[in-house]
Order: sequence, then C-alpha cells, then structure tokens
Amino acid sequence: MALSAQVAVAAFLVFVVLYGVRTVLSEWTWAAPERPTSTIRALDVGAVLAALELLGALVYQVVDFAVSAQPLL
Amino acid sequence: MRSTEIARTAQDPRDTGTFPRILVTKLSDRRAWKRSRPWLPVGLAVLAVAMLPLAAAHTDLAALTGLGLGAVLPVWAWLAVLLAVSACALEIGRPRPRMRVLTGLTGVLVLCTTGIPSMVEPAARIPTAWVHLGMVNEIATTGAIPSGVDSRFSWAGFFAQWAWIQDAAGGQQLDTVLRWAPPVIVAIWATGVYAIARPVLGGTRGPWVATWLFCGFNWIEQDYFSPQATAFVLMLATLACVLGPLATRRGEPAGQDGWPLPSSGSGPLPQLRRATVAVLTPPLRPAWPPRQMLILLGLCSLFMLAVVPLHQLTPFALGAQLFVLAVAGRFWGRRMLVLLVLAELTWFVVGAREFWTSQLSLATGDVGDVGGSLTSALVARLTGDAGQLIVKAFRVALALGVWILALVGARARWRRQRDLILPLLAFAPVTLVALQSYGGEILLRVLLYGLPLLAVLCVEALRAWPPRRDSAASRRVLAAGMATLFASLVLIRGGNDAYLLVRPAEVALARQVVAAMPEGKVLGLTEQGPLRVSRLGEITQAISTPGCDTLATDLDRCVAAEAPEIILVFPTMAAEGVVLDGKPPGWAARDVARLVADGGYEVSHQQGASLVLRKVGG
Repeated sequence: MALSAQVAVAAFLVFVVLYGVRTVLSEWTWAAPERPTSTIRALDVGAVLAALELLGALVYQVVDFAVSAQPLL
Repeated sequence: MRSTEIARTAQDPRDTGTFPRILVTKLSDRRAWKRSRPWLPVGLAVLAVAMLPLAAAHTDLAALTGLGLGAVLPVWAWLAVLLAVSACALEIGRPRPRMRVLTGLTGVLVLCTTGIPSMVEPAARIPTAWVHLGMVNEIATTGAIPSGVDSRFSWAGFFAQWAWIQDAAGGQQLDTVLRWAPPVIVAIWATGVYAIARPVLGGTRGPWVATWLFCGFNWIEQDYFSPQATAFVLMLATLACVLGPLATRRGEPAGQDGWPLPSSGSGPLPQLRRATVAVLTPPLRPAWPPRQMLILLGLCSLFMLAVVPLHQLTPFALGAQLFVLAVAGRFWGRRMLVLLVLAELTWFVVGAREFWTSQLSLATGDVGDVGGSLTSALVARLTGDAGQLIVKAFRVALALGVWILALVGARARWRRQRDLILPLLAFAPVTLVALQSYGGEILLRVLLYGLPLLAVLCVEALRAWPPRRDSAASRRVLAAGMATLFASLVLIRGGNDAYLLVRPAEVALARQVVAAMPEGKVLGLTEQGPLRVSRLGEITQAISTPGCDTLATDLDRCVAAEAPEIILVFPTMAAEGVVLDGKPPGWAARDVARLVADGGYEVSHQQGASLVLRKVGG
C-alpha cells in the first residue's frame, strides 16, 4: 500500500477514535451539571484536523495517479 | 357450576359473590376468545405450508413459456398463496392481533410467495447469484482478492464474509444457501421494515400491513445471494434506529417543536440565512439515558462502516436519506453522516483503487445523463414475446401503483400532521438516477431503496380510505386486494424463469469443465445459466470484445475475436433468445451446428440439452 494510502487509513482511524471518544463524553455528560465542554471542543478540533488530513491524503492519491500513471477516464 | 351460570350469577346484582368477580371475567373472556376461533389463522398457515410440497411435485418446469413460472404452477401453489393471505387477514382482523402469530404468519406469507421459486425449482435461478458464488469460491480458495477480474471485487466485503463462512463450514459449496436466500432475505428485510413502520405509524395493525405491502410490492428481485441484499439489511437497520429511538424534532431551546423562529422584535432575515440557521440549529435530544444513546449511536456507526465495503451504491442511497433527515433535524447524532461520507471516500480511493484507476468510466460515463439512464432502465427492458410483455406490464403497473398509493398517503399525512419527511426519504434515492445508469438497473434500485418508506405511506393511504374501514365489507375488499397483490407478485417474480431456470446438473457440468481446464477462456453462448462458478482468477470467463454483449450477439465476429477454448450452451440460453430476443425456436442448435460445421469447434460433451463445445486443436 502506498504511503499516502497508509496515511489516509491512519487518519481515518484517528478520526473514528476522536469522534467516538467525543460522542461518548458528550452523551455521557449530557445532563451533568458541569459538562467538560472544553475537552469536547478539543476533541472536535482534533477530529476535524484528522478529517482534513484524510482528505488531503485522498486527494494526493488521486492527483498522484492522474499525473504519473495513466489517464483516469 | 358451568361457566355460563358463573357469568349469569356474577351479573346478578343481588349476588353476594360466591366466586371472585375477576375469575368470572376471566372465564367469560376465555369463552369469547374461543369463539373468535384463534386456531383458524394458524391452521390456515399450516395448510398453506402443506400445499408447497404438492406444488413442487406438480410443477412442470419443462413447459415454461414467456409468461414464466406463473403459467406452469399447479393449483396447489395458488392455494398456498390464498391460504397464507387469508391467515394474515384473519389474524389482523381479530380484536387483539397476536404479535407472535403475526410474526409466524408473515414468515409463512413470505415462504408461500417469494419462496415459491425456491420451493419448486431445483437450484438458485439468478445467474448473477452464481457469479457471486464464483467470487466467494475464488476468495475461499486463494485466500486473496484477485485483481483485474471483476469490478465488484473492489467492494469485496460480502464475498470475503461468505468465503470465511464457507471455509469455516469445511469448504462445502453454498448451493443450498443460494437456493433459499430470497425468502430468508425478504423475511429479514420484513423485520427491518416492521422496525421502521412501528415508530412512524404507531398502532398495532399499521406496521404489519406496511410490512406485508413491502413484501407484496417487492418484485424487484434484489434479494438473491448478493452484496446489495446484505447492504440493504444494514440500511434498514440504520433507518430503523434513526426513525425510531434516535428520531427527534428540531425545536426551540424551550422544547417547542418546529423550525426555529427569529427572536421577538428582530426583523426578517434573508431566506438563505434563515435556512442556514435552521439547518445548523441542533434538534432536540431524545429522552433516552446516556447508556442507551451510546449503544444506539455505536450500532448506527457500525452499520454505516459495515455497508461501505459491501456495496458500491447502497451507501449513496443511505447517505441521501440521512442527509434529508439531518437537514430536517429529525434524528439525533447528525455527525454520523460525516462518518459515512469519510468512510465512503476512504474506501473508494484506497480500497477501490483498482476500480477508479481502470474502470471509472463505468461509473462516470452516464453522470448527468438522466434521459439515457431512464431509457436503458425502462424502454430497453420492455422487450420479449407476448408473455414477457404481460409480465413486464405488470411490473410497471405495480411500480406505478405503489408510487401513486404512496403519494395519496403522503397527502393524507401532510393534511393530518404537516409532515413531508417520509415522501422526501422515499424520493431521496432518485438522485442516483442522475449519477449513473448502473447497467440499466438503476430504477429498480431506486424503487427498492425507497420501498420501505413507500409501504409506510401506502398504509397512510389505506388509513385515510375508506371512511368506514372497520366494516366487514371493507375488510373483505382489503383482503381481496392483498390476495391479488401477492398472486401478482408470484406471477411477476417468476416471469423470467423460462430463461432463468438452473438445474443442479448444469452447475455440476460448469464446475467440471472449468476444473478440468489448465488455462484459457471459457464463455457461455449467452450470459444465462450457471457461468463463472469457480476459478475466476485463473480462467478467463468474461467477454471483453466491444459490441459483443454475448457470443450470440454476433456469432462469427464475437467467437473469432474471443476465441474461447470452451463454449457452454445451456437450455436457458436458447429459451432466452426465443422469449426475450424474438429469435426462432432452435436458433441455439443452429448456431452450434454452424460453429461445428466451420470446423472451429466440436461437441465434446452433451448432457441433456446442455452442450460443451471445445475448440478444435485447443
């Protein structure tokens, strides 16, 4: 598997983990008087960064193939 | 003392009460229960199942015509359908329908309608199911996904799963699984439709009727051994969660339902800004404890992640439906949609790399060509002899009927509670038509993906009509309608069986031929019958010459271009040409004779009407 594909898969897994932890934290403390809002927001930011890294790796894969190997269509 | 005396004594106001009143009531209830003949629906269902072996024994499969299985089914099969429908109608008409009995009766109804071909035919009959089995065999045998063989291997989740099961079962062939897959899969789908209909419709009878309508309108035949059948199960499971326990409404912070209103005293906002604010306003949270919410969200996420590597089209249909729900603020956990989009993108670019690097034009060639998609999906399929045209007219009528009835139901729902989300959900998969033609099957897929919601809307239509729906006459009309619907279903689903029928001996012959080949190419005269059942990675078994859909399309040119070592000829191939393509009877035999006379091929094996042609000197 190409490096960019490995990066994409890793970024996706990181996104899933951050999104999962964020969901658990958010739902578990929904009715709590003191919600860890800052932690939830930090996890949100982390998940968004992972998603951006994932999108970047995916775009790199497609562009790399288009310019180096053969036409897509 | 007899129970009537007990009851009479209990009604006497002078009675001081020798027996406790509750006991008297119970005895009276029991008598009323017995009078309602509770055994009758179950008895009819047992009789219906008992008819099936008789139907199998008296069906003359050799007499199949363009009208399909319906023309050769004996009276026992139609009796089974009638008895199963009667059992369901009787049970649903009882004062208190029994949940367990209705569950069993639904199973019987599916077996006696969808399951009829599995019962009367000796093997699975959809050629694609045999190709899928070949793909499973390939993974089970080699332990790897072959490259450059079939674009469906880019979504190999289903094949890998069954290869694992086959391996765990000691390498047995899955022919029996293939044969009985349709009724089992439809029964599982019915469970999902009930789970969707129950929270949406409420009540006791409505969800069951929606389930039966789904089964009755499901002539689409995507319920064979296929990735889309499994993916549809996951789709139904996800929809059952988001329309059930995760369902919510957008609301004010104070808890009032509806679209968020501007603050009092503020001026009117621009339309786009209002829509953006409305979309971004979070919905109200369902009143479930955290543990249950997390289990539900976890399950939904799991379903979405599982559907992505299973099938190329279902995630898009599911995504379109979830998008509608998310924009309308109708379920909790809208971020799951992001998870689905990222998972799909990741799989497509990384997992399905072989597809987009070599066969992307298959998917993008028809993007935006809605006219072309509709033409290939509708017009190109309305061909064949008189029997075929009758069956196909029934199909179109049933598809139009379900949409018309659903629109009536949507209107009734709108007038009652100003809710348009169900028709929008049913319509959401239509966007797929603009994406690709999908081999002319796109309308069938769109109909299937919307069918659970359409069935729910059909119940809304039935609830709105007739005004005196509890009258005996209305019940009889509805029961007769149900019987007609399911009889039509049997006719329609079996409509192609003249050229879909597969016999175990043909499967064995195909396996034997491919197993004996050291290398080379094996093709069928057409694409019907059990082809590509094994060794997909080693033996070329697909036609690749442009303009040659099958060898029979242009015999001399296609055979010369492909030059297969082996050509398989099954009786269903000849039948396909006659009933579907308008060729004269005996055309296949004449084609074979021509190939032999030219000296290029010889008949190396004959088994009944099945032939194996071997290339001379090959």
